[in-house]
Amino acid sequence: MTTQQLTAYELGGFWDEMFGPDGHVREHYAPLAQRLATLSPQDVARRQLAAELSFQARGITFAVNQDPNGLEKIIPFDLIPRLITPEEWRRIERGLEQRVRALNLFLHDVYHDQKVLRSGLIPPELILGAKGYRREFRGVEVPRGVYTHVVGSDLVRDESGRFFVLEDNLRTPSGVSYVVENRRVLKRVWPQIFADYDIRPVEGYPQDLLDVLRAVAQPVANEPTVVLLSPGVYNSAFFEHAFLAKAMGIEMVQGSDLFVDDATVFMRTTSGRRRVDVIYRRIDDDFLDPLAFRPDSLLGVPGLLATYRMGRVSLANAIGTGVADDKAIYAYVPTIIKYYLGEDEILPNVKTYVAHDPVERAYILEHIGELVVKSVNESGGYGMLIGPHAPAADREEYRRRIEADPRGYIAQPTLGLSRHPSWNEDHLEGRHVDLRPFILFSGDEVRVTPGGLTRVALRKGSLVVNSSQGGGAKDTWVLA
Amino acid sequence: MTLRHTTRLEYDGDVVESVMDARLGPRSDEDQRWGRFELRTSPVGAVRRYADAFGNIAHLVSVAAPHRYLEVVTIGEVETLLADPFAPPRSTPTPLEPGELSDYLLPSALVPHDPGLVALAEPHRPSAAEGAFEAASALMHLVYGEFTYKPDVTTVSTTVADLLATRTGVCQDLAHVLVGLCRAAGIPARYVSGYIVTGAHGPKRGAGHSHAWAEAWTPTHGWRGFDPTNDLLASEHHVKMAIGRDYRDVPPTQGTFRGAAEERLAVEVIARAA
Amino acid sequence: MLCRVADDLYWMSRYVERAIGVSRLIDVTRHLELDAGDVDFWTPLVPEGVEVTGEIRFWLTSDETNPNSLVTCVRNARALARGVRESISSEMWEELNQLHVSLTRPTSTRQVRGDTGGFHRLVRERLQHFQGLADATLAHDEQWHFIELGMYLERAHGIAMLLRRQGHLLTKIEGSDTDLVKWLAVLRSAGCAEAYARFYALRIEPARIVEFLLLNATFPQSVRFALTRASESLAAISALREAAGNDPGPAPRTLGRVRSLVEHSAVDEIFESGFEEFLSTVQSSIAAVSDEVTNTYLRDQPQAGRLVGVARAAMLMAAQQQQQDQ
Repeated sequence: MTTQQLTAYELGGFWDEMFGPDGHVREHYAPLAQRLATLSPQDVARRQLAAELSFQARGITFAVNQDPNGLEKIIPFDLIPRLITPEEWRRIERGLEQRVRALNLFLHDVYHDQKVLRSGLIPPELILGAKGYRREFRGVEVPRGVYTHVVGSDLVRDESGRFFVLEDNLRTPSGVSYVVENRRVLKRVWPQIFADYDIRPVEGYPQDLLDVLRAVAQPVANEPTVVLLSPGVYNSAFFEHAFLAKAMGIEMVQGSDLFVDDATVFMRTTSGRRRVDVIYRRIDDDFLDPLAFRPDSLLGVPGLLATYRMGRVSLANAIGTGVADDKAIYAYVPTIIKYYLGEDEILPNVKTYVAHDPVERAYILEHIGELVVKSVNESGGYGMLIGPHAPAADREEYRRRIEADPRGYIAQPTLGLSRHPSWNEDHLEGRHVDLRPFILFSGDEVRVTPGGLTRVALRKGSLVVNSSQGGGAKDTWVLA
Repeated sequence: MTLRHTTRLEYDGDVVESVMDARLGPRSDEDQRWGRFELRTSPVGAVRRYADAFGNIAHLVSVAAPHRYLEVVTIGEVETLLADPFAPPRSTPTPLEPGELSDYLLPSALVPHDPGLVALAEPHRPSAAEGAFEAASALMHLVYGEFTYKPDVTTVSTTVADLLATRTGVCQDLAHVLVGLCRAAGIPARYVSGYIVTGAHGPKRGAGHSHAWAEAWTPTHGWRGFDPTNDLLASEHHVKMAIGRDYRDVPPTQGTFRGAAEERLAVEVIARAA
Repeated sequence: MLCRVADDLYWMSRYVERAIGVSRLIDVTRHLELDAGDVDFWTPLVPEGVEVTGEIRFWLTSDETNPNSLVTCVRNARALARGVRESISSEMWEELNQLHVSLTRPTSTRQVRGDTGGFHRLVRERLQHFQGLADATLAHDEQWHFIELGMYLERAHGIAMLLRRQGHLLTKIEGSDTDLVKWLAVLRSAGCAEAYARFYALRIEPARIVEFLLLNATFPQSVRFALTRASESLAAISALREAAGNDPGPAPRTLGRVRSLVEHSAVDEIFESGFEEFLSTVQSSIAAVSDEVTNTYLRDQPQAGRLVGVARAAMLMAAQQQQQDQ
């Protein structure tokens, strides 16, 4: 690739991860840029194809719609890695650790004394009325006070290059398998570029996760048996479930593999029943236990909640963590950090207007054309209005919805997400990216895997990076 | 008094892995004190006792081996203490916590918000805190007067909206309507699952099986039971098994099993004054 | 190991072996047709009571309404493998996945149409490669034993079926070239023409053929060999269950009986007492073993069959209806 091709790259007024505002390659990207300059577009395209074939062959897939031939989709992979400097990473790490600790204290409070409800800092009805709040879970003592063993928080940068937290995923965050697989595939198809950098490894994630899961086993378990509970092959993250179970060397089970007897969870094995101590569950609260939650659930284990309540099995993540990643509660995370830790937030929130509040609602309705409106109960890029790009009819529709259900909506200013050079047929173009690091919490230690999933909005100009909306992924390098 | 409560499930084929979550008591509070309490199963199963999210005592019962029936029997002795439900308690009731207000004022699964409830309750909305107890009584009279007690017309999935249309139901249904009316009138209200125990002359509906009524919280009396099926305040004749936002939180028994069999249920309650 | 995983591995393995059998059958029948002219060799391959519209060859290869077509078997095997991919090696999964992907490509349909055997040979080789990978990349522990058990039970069953279907040929062998061709074809569809030749120097006699396919102790494509291996794996599996203090169930005994029947039969006796009956006994015993394995090992408790699902007891609305006064 010629230098000219690199210089033809347009910055478009956004923060670019690779190029400074004057068009010069940022220092930490310089060796990568030099590599790129030595390659022909054909060479890059060839490697790109090799990567895609590798994903397909290894079945590194997610399923949004079922293909008639029973084939699953792969997540588009963009060959050009995203680089993060050690200084940037340290700040991200500290900020995420602070957030996770504060949110776990918040969750404990919400499910026990509920001091925060009397503090006047957050409207009680906002917390108790959250869809993710599980009244049935009150009073359960979770091992080591850990509610969110696994967290995936979405970070973005604005035009000034500052990192913000866009949302926290505290229930069953997915994507970590791609973090590991993206690295493996990139090493396979383009080993040369690794020579110029000292990159922190991400392969340790499954072992770290297993350590956390073992750490939260209830004291009765001597050599705890840990399993991963998956909804089954039709789940879009099924690949990840299999990947993690295999990497950790634990059984991947489905609800029908488990049963409760004498307040003990057992799995059905070929040599008889076997006790289960820790369940890393990748199914939603609603489906966990038909006796406690959705009675029609066939994915869950009858009696699981009662067994958990008696302290005879551990769940990761705990039940009811959705109250803390509710998009309206999100607006109060800086308040939560201050209230529980007495600290100011290290990573700022994106300014958020909560429609539940009459003053903020009025603001949203008035400025709907400038804002991104989000339904608090949806994710994956659904239930969202991007004001500046939306037709008038859609804006009207959202106005009506907000007025009908203020609790259900929040709004944020439109962010100029940072961009990263991405391979587009035969040249590089800037595409908007975000970053989802994965955070593990064992009660003592918070561990942020050095890397993360960089999601790319592969459609030109698009700000939606979700894989369900045509987003792709990049390998993400945290430099040592 | 002594209570014996039998729940028997029969299957027309072998089933395995029965799991039953039981809320059959004993719940002790200022109105009642349990002495002996026993829960037995046949065939012999595993029984584990725990406290649920509403402070009720619950039992998790399981029978893993193949079986054709499951019988759960509770036998207990309880002393009821509330002789005069009209008299305010000696000490002023502690105001409810935000969490309790949310539980018992907001709509719940089986008692969702309904304009019909609001319309019925509105004339009785207490203007001052002191009027809440009277208002709850008036709402109870209203349910007793306007609704017909009739078994076999409703199911566990009957909604309050259905009840407002048909105006008939069993004690669970009438309790749900009263809970909904109280909440619509701004009075915190909850559902009580229990028994009514009367002497030979007691004509009260609900005896001989499990019963249900509503509890309303008023600043003057704290929690007091209002039984819309019998149009009377819960007193020493009422024994509570469990409380919740509505029936969904406190079914006396609910369970699952594995196997291709049909299930049949029989319940029997025998109460005897000690 | 989990019952569900064992179940899926067992059936994955059966489907792979079944696909190999089907592909060999098609391949061989096609050759037979080329060699022997006008005779209809295809119709006997369709089970009684099944209506096939279109060419039987395609019905056997790629018809999705045929639960035992080659493509259906591969798809089923791959779907099962996907569900338990954490329990098999990546190599196995990738092999089966790639084969499935290639069979769903439009080019593969064209290959089937214009096929002269190359397609089937290729598919078969990949499936056999898969079996080889199972042997080479998995620890020979319980999961491997379930894969073995499925493969050998399917194989024994398949060969018994082949002999029953082609049994009519046995009565007519007169040493003509056509009969020789036909019998070579049968041997080929069992994948053993060459081995047979080494053994009997191509003396095509019904007794020798039956002896070879049914009773040979050393050739992997014989019923006896398959039953021996299957019972070795089942013994390993049942030992684990016994060690855990649980009943190993009737499957080891049933399999032991049929194995011993085959081991202790001479071909002349079989013909005397009834060839058809003998094969029928073998087949029904294998089916019984499979059911018993399912009940004991793949369900733990038969009533907990996952297809039945959780039959949910009604939320018991504590019964206003039953009356019993004080």
